[in-house]
Amino acid sequence: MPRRRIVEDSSDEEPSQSQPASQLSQSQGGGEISDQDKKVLAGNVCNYFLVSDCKKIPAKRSDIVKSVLKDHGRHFKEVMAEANRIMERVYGYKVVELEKKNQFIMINTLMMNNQDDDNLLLAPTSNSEVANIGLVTAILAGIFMSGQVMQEGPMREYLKKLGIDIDSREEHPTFGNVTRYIHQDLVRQQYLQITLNKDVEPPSNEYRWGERAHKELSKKDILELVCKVYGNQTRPEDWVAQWKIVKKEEKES
Amino acid sequence: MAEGSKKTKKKRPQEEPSAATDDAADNATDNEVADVQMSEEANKEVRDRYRHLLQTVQEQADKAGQAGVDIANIHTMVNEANQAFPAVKRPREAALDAQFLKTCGVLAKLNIESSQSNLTVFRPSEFAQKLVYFMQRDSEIKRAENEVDYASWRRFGRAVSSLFKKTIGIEPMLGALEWEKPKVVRKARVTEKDKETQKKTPTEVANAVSGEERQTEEVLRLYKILNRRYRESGNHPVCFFSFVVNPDSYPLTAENLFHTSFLVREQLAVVEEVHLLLSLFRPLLPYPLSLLINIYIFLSLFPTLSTYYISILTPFAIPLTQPTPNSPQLPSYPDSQIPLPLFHPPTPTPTGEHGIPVISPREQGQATVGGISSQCIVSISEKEWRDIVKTFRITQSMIPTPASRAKKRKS
Repeated sequence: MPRRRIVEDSSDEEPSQSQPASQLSQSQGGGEISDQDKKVLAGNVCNYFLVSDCKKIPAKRSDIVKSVLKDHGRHFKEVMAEANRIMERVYGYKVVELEKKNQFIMINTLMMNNQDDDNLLLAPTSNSEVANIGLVTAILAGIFMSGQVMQEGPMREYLKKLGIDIDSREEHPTFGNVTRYIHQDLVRQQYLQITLNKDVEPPSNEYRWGERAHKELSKKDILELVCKVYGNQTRPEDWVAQWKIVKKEEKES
Repeated sequence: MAEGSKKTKKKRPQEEPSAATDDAADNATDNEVADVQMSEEANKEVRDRYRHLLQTVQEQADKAGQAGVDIANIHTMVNEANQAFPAVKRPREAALDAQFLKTCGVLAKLNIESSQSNLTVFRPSEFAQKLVYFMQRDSEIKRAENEVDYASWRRFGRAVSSLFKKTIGIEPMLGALEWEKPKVVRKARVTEKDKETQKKTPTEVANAVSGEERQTEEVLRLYKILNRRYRESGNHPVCFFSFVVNPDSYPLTAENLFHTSFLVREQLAVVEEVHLLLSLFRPLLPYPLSLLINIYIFLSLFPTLSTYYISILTPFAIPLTQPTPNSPQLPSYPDSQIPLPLFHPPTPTPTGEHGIPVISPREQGQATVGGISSQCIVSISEKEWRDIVKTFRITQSMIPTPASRAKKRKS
C-alpha cells in the first residue's frame, strides 16, 4: 500500500506518493520514464531536499542520483523539473541551481510576494538560529556597503566593534566558536565567500557575499536597513554607489 | 633641453617624457661631456626640487586634515612638478616624481570624496557603532559600549529574518526515502517473572483468608464459646464484659466486640441488662440487643464508675430503655454497696433502674421478642478497657486469643 504524503496545500493538489524505489517499474528501453515513476521519484527528491535543507548545505546532483534516482539517473532533468514544480506548489520553495553547476539550494518564494511588515509570520526561522541570522545580516550589510568586498583588516575592526573577536578561540556567549562559524559554516552554507588574496603582503582574506546570500537577500532591503540604522532620515539614494547597484539588481530581476 | 609645455593640466601628457628622452638621445653625443659634467649638479637640483615639492604637499595635507587639500593648491604643485620633470634624467629622480604624484592623487581623491554629500563614505566602524546602538535601543538593560548581549542579537535577528527568503528543512522521523511500516516485533514472554509471583502467592493465600470468611469463623467460634459458658454457668447469662474483654490485648477486645455484634445481629445472642443479686426469672426483653441501653443503665447504677463509661455513651443516640410490662420492680442499691460483677440471675429492669449487661446465647430461629429492633454503637476506648479490666477483675479472657496473635499483657 503506497504511503500517501500529507499535502499542506489545498485539496485539489494531486497527492504525490512516495514509495520505496524498489517498487518502481523498470525503465523502458526507449529511455522514457513513466509518469507514475516520475511522480514517485520527484516525491522522493522533494523529501531529499527537505531533509538536506536542514543543514543548509547545497544538495549535489551526484548525491541525488545515487540515493534517489539510482537506475534512473539519466532522467535527472525531468525528475528535477517535476520536483521543482511540486515544491513550488506545495511549500512555495523554489529550487535554484548554483553557479557551480549541479548544486542546488532552495529559496522561499512566499517571502518575495509579501512585502508588508507582518510577514514575520511567514519567516520560518527556528529559535536557535535567530541570533545567527542577525550576525549574518550584520556581516553582509557591512560587506555590501563597503563595495561588495571587504578586506580582512576592516572586517576585523568591524566585528570588533560589534563585540566579536574573529581571531579568538574562545566561545562567544551568543555564537560559540565564531571563527569556525564565519569561516567554515557560513562559507559552506554559501552565505559568505572568502577568498585568499595573495597579492597583498601578508596574504589576507577577502569577504564577499556568497551565492545563497545573493539569492536570499535583496540588496534594496539591506540598503534600507542600513539607512534605518543610521537614522537621521537617511535615504537609500544618499548612498550613490550602493544605490546604483540596487537599481541594477532591480532591473535584472 | 626639451621644452616642457606649460599646459595647465593635472595629468601629465604622455608625449612629454618621450620627447624629453628623444631630445636627450639626439643631443647625447654632442653634449655628452657637458651633460656628464653638469648632470650631477643638475640631478641634485632636481632632487632638491622634488623633495621640496613633497615636503610642501605633506605640509598641506597635514594642515588640511580630513577634507583634503584644496584643489587649487594641488593644481599648483602638479604644475611645478611638470616644470621640474624635464630635468629628470635618471630613474632616481623619476621615482621621486612618481611618489609625489601619487601623494597628489591621494589628496585629490580625499578632496573629491569630502566635497560631495557628506554621507556617501561608508565607514564600517561607524556603521558598527550605530548598529550596536540600534540593537540595544529597545533593551532595558544598559550594557557597556561594545557588548551586544544574546537577547539583543536575537531581537535583531528576528527583525531581519523577514528579509531572507529562507527555507526550513524538515527532519523526518522515520527516514526520508525508503521506509516500511515498522513491523511489530513480538518478543517471547519472559517467564521468570511468573516464578516469582508463584512463590509469593502460596504464602499469601494462606494468610489472606477472605475477610468475610474469617469473620464468619470468628463469629461462630464466639457463639460456641458463649454457649459453653452459658451451659457451664447453669444456663445463666454471661457477664458481657467478661465475655468480650480480653485483658491481655485491647485490639483483640475490639475484635471480640465486633464479632459479638454480629452474633447479636443474627439474634444468636441477646444482650440484656441485669440487675444484680435478684430475680431468677429472666424473660426476654421485648426489645432486643440494645447493648448500649444496658450500658447506660449500668452506668447509672455505678455512678463512681460512670465517669469512665460516660464516654461510651456519647456516641450513642438511643433513647433509654422502654418499660417492659413484665419486669418487676426492683430496688436500686446504694452506692456503697456496689456488688461484684458476677453471674447473677438476670432480671430485666424497668426504665431508670440499672443492671449489668449480660449476654446469653440463643438458638437459631428463636423469634425475637416484640419485633422492635434498636441499634446503637458501642465503643470501648483503651482507657475504658483498662478500667473495665480493673473493675471487673478480668484476669482471663473468655474468648481465647488466637495463637498467632498472642501478645504480652500490657500493664
